[in-house]
Amino acid sequence: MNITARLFILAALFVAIPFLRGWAPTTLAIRKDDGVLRVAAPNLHFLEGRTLRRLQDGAGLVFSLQLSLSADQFRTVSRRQVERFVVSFDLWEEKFAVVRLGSGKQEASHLSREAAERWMFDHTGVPLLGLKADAAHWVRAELRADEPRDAGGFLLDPAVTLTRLVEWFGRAQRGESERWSLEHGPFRPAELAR
Amino acid sequence: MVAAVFVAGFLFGLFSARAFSWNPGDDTNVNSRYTVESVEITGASEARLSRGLREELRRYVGQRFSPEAFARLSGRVRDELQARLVSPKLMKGSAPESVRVVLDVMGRRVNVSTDRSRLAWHTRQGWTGDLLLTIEERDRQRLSLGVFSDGDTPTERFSGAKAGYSRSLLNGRIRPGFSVSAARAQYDTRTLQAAGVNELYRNVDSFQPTVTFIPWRGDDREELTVDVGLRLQRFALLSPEANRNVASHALVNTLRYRRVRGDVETGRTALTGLAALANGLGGDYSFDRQELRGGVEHQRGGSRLTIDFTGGSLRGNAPFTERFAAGNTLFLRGWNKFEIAPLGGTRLLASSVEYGQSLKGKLEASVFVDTGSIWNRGVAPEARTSAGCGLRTRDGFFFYVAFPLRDGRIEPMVMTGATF
Repeated sequence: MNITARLFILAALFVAIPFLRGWAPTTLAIRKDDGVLRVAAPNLHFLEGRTLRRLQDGAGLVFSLQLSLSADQFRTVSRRQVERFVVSFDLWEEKFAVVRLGSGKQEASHLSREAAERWMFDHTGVPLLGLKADAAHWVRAELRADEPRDAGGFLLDPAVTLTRLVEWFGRAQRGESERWSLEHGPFRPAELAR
Repeated sequence: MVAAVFVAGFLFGLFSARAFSWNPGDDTNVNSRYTVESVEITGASEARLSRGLREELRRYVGQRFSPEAFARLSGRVRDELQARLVSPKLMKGSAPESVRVVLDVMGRRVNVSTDRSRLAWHTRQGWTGDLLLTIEERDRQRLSLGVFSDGDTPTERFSGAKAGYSRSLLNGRIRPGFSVSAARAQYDTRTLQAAGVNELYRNVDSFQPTVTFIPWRGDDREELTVDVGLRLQRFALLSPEANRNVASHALVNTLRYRRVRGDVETGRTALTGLAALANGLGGDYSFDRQELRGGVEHQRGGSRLTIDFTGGSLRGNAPFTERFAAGNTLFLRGWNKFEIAPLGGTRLLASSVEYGQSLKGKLEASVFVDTGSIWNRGVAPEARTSAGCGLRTRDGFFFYVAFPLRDGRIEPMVMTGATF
């Protein structure tokens, strides 16, 4: 292969890399951490597009992350854990901050976009205690952006009128709510790496 | 009565519901440590906001940014401007660690609404429904389509379809347009017994070209509007003669004034006035009709006081549709219009004083006293008074029980409904 062809391939790869990133398979990696099952989705990037623009406009967006465990491929769910997070973008430092809500509130700031995404998964886990260590299990991670639709990231309390109801149902049908769902399995708790 | 309870329950549930929402606290947004350098409004003139709200927006300059406070303020801006959406945005300020808050007011380019629609039920009059669908291209043109069956406002039940179109010129200061309607009338037996030959009509078709001018807009939600137009009507009379059609043409001029001062927290006063003149121009009728309405509403905290008055006069030979009616859900609530004026009247004087106290959320308990008279020229007017109480919400739902104040039997009237 001559030098021109190599350069051409290199240039093509350089141009294609940003697009190829979106094509990477969104898999769910799992690990055991002190008796708790934790997941990671390194290829799932949800702080982008419209969500990112709203964060850059100063909005605090709420995300719900739910982990579900099943022993029968989700015909039934044996365990479930839901965490809620607020993500915001520091206008001056251009870094992300995440707060986990509820009891045992935790927060992190000065995060890159990928680190903020990872932080939410790292702070959600399902206890494995009591599960049959040798039985096959499946895990599902569901992430949903809960930001109030009507306020650009801020709450408004819309007065309920017929017109607003029509608008609300219209939006619900268009599916503006953003959701992601990833699954992994089967796996045996006994085989999980720490 | 069962229907009234059902409708009241349904509408109350609809209008007292609150949309689910969840708002993260100030401490969850990393930008809450920055100082607000300025608060700006884009997409609408700041002059359209009340002074109180403008001053409150200015008070946040120099303070820490509070997402919760600006969420509330955005809601108030949206309500005052009647915008579809007010979206707050943060931008870096000119000084380090400061931010500019921009409230972006967005109306829909094409807005579809059912504003001015109405549903009501009255013990004596039954159902009234008026569904009006308006499609509006922002600041350009407006098309409305509707169906109605109004057994409340006029003496007769007036059912049919209507449509209208208007175009906006010079930033909405001039709006030429027209409306058309076709309606059929039904009458109470007392009206039929009292009416003379050729007095009532079976059908009416109307065409009304109008030009609306807004010659003056004040700096604090003050506006003067003038409508100038023609009303061309063709009636098919309820007459033994077959196909007896008559026409009524009139020049119709209306002057409206509206002023809103302050806000609810510190005291909000809304003043409205209307003067309408209709002069017969030709056709089979010749008449002059004048109507004057005024209203003051003062709201402070959870209290509201509303005072309304109406006066009207009709002279000459006028079609039945021009006559005034009272004893409905608007005037002399509690009286039965078929009892006090089965043919309506050519003179009307009516007033209403209503006091409301907020109970919880948007729900309000209110009491009122209506007084007035409806009569015909040459007949001595008889003053009538009624009183009532009920529940209502800020969104337009109402449930009232009203009693005419007179000697003898007490006959309560129940009226419920909602405006959308």
